Amino acid sequence: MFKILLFVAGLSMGPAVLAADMKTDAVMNALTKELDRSFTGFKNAEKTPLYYLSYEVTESRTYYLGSKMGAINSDSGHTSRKLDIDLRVNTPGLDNTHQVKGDYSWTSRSQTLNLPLAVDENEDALRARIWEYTDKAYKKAQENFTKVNMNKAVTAQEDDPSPDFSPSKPEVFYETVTLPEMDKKLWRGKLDKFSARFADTPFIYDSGVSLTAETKNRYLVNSEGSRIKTGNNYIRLSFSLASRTTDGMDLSRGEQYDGASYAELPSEEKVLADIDRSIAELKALKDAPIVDPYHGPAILKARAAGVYFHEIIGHRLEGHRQKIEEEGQTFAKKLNQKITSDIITVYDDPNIKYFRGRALRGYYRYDDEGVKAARASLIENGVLKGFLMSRSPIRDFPASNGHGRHSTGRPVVSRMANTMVEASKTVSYPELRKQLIEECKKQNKPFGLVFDDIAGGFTNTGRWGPQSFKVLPLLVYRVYTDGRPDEVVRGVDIVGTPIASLSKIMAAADDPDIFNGTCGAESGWVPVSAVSPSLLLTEMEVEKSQKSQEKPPVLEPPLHDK
Amino acid sequence: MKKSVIYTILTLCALPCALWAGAVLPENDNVFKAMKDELARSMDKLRMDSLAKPYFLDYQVVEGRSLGITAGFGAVESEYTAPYRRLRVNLRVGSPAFDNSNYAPNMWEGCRVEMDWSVALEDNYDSLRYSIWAATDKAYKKALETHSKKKAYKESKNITELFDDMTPRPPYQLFRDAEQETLDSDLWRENIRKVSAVFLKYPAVKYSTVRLNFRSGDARFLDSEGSAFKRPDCLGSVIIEAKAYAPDGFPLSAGDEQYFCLAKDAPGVDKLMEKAEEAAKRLSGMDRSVQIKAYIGPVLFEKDAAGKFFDYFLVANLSNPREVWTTPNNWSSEAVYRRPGALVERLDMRVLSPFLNVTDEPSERYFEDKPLIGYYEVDDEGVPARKLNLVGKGKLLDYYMSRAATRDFKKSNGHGRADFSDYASGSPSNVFIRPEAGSAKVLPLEKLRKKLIDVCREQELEYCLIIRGLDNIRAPFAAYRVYVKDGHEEPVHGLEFTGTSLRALRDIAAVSKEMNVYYPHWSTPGSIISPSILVAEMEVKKTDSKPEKIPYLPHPYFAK
Repeated sequence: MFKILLFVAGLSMGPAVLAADMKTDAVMNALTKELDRSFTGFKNAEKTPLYYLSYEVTESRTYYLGSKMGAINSDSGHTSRKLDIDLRVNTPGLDNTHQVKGDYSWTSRSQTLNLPLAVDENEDALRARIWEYTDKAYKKAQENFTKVNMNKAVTAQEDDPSPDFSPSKPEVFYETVTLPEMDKKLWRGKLDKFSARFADTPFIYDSGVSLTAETKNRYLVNSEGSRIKTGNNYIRLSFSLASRTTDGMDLSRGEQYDGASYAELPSEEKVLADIDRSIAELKALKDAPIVDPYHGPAILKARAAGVYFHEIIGHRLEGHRQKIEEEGQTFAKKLNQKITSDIITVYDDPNIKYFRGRALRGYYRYDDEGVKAARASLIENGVLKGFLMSRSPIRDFPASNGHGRHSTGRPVVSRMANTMVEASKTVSYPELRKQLIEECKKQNKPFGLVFDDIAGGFTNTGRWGPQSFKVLPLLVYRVYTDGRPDEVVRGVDIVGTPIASLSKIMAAADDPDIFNGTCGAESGWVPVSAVSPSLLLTEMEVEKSQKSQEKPPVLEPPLHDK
Repeated sequence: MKKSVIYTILTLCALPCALWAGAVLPENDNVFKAMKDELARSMDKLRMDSLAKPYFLDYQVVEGRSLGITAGFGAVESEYTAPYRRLRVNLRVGSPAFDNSNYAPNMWEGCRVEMDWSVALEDNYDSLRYSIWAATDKAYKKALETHSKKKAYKESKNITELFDDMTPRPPYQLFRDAEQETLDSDLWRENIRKVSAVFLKYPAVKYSTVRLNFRSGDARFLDSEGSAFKRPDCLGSVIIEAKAYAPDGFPLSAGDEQYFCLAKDAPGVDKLMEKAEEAAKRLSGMDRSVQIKAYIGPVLFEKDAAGKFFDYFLVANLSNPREVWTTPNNWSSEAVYRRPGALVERLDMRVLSPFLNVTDEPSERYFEDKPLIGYYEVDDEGVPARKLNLVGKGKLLDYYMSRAATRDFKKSNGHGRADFSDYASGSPSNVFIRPEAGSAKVLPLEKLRKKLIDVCREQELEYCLIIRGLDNIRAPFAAYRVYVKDGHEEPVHGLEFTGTSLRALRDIAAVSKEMNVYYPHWSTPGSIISPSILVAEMEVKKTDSKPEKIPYLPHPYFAK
């Protein structure tokens, strides 16, 4: 709240104050001066001209506190500034980032390393490093373009002849996000209290509680005139607990609480209650039967449904995948076609900071290419309407919608931010459960499955393997048609292919919930959120999950070996 | 005067030493208590079904606080400070004659002990014991599997010579009151900034970095045979790196490395600035450097370059005397994970020029006021440190031993040291290379340079080479050619040694009177104290590496 008020106050002082702040900002000055000098100096330094240059500096202040079995076991902090350079030669139609067919698409990018900069506000030192890294990026760009040019001449024409880069409106924006100093004593005490809760349970073989607070401010300047400084706070409190069955299956439960300020984190009572519930769930899982491969009706509870959408369709709607030659391009030519139930609408909007009072990790104002975040309409009433776009255009989508993202050191591609799944027709969750039982009866199935929690998943979008996805459930229930109580089961993963799976969505509940996570792909790890209601699918396939071959510990935990 | 308690139990533990002898540990030490209780429980009860119990177990807990500051061009680029406490578990199944050590299941996995990198920072007995229990369980299961794989490997080969994996030794206890030291981070931030700002005066230096790292704390050790120790554990360094280009675009580097252990021995800012100036001047003076085609003749290795010479040819070949096996698979056809040092097979043979002696002295803390970072009193296997006479009058007399036997030696000589993740193996500490007293082959450095010219003249060479800095014997290096006619020096670069062999050690023709302390990059801290050396003949060729394009735009600071 404190930060929001501060920001509003900043705005109310008017652009003059912001401009003054920007003028005295050593990082902004170093970036701007070196950008201007490099853009002029390199423009015609070689036969292939430089046509675009951008710098992004990610300034990160991170503090990490961890506790295990009632004692702090990690306490560290770090501040860093990392530079990313996007340097392009020739023309937007064909530049050095163009995919060299036969190589992976990202190998053509000009810079793929972490480039540290001074954390002191020292313009000379900042400029010295920016100069050093830009020189290397320029040499790499010229070398890559030679390869691109030859490859283009000797290989078949691409299916999508879109240019390599799209223009974007220059943006000027300046904010500095701050976070009040963490009350370390208070949080050390809380974490120790939370982690000590696991000590009484003999079947917990590993556990931990942690608090991470990161303030990330990003500077973006480019040769089109953008001058941006913007930031986010990411605070995450999490706990995890793990066990193993005698047949060697690793089981885990846990919870993560995200916020942009400490005040948004839950109360001690709520965390302790969640820990107790998780311990009970872990026990139930430990005693649960293994479910055999199954296909039949299933409910994905809200947070699980969010992950499901992220994996099965989100990654496949990332714009750059529609033209990269090694990609499966599942939905590239399905624009304006029905791909799922007509009750479903999906969009991705990085501008949403809170959903029903809770922070979304996918929030940002400007993406990593300096483009203002915008809502990307993906599916409207079951019909595919668009893609997540960076500044790499594709057929029919010539411009970015502010979804170019990466983690430092990786080239930008289009990524998800806040993926919002909405249903035009909803019922209450108990009603959805009733519909599950009815559908099971219709299909002569003795039970259906409810996926309560999901760890995450992965998906193959490339052509080198099947176009399939796998989602890793953490907590699954069998719901019987004969009225028997629900039963926890274990040992299954959700598998499928995207087009078939999406067509099975039958109904939705009125209980949207948030899955806050960190998504990894070729452009690195980025914070994301998915918001979805619970969904009923007429058919879902599960297969046996991978398990470790290890036995549970030979001896009881020391506290329980009396 | 630090308080210390030393217990030496003279009776050898009867094989197989399965019963924990019960070290007398410092009172009110929760870390030792957790180690002791879990060690006793594990030795007593840890057994999976009908499989073997551990016959030996040791724990090491290392703790302290670390500080790291990096700066470039007068500004801090990164800084961290954090407390740490780590656990290392060395568990053996089988028997001392043949156990799970000295074998890597595959090249990728390597030969590593079990670790937990973040155990409770507070002295919380329950939390510590829990972490020790979890790591011991993993170590036990891994040991059983590794042991059976190693057995299968042995049985699939015709291996006629087997050496014990764990030789006996009397239990030993040493408890030092180790004080955790810290450096004043405000002061050092400013110091490192200042040192890095030296390069603001030298346009020839294109890139530079100055790094401080310091950790200080202690290490606790306890094993199932009754050995135990608590000893200081610290290491600090200030590394200065600077880079420039030769006129043809060949990258040149210069720098300095200062190491220390105690905070009081940290180098002063003035000295560091002086070292940065030296590096900057050296690079600035190479603005007329050229590449030569080939050279065969005498070479003078000065100071750190001589240290690097001895590190590469001598010390590395006296270390890790036990071969570590691995099983070839689809990805690697290697059957040996780590080969023993090449000189290990040459015991009692002449390996060095006859006027040179080599000792290893872990008890030395300083040489002419310069800190020696190989200092320790007890090794990572709980064996007391010992001075070794490695080479006498050029003849190899000894090499580094851990508790793993070799053909020549069946007991440790107190040099079982390890990086935190590795099994201990025979390792160096402070290596002294000294000439025989009164030898005519010892000259003041200035006279050694003159001797170099004399030898060149005898060989009718136009010039000969002096090497003052060397990153790696195998990598391209820069040097100075000194002309016979008038003794003037010219910088040269882009050179590589060719046809080098251990013969070079026997070709040392003369050494300087002055000794230099060099800090090699070993997995455990150590120092080489040696004179500068004149090697009678070495072959040098032009490197295959290609020069780079020099930066397109001028440095922004110097272009102002």
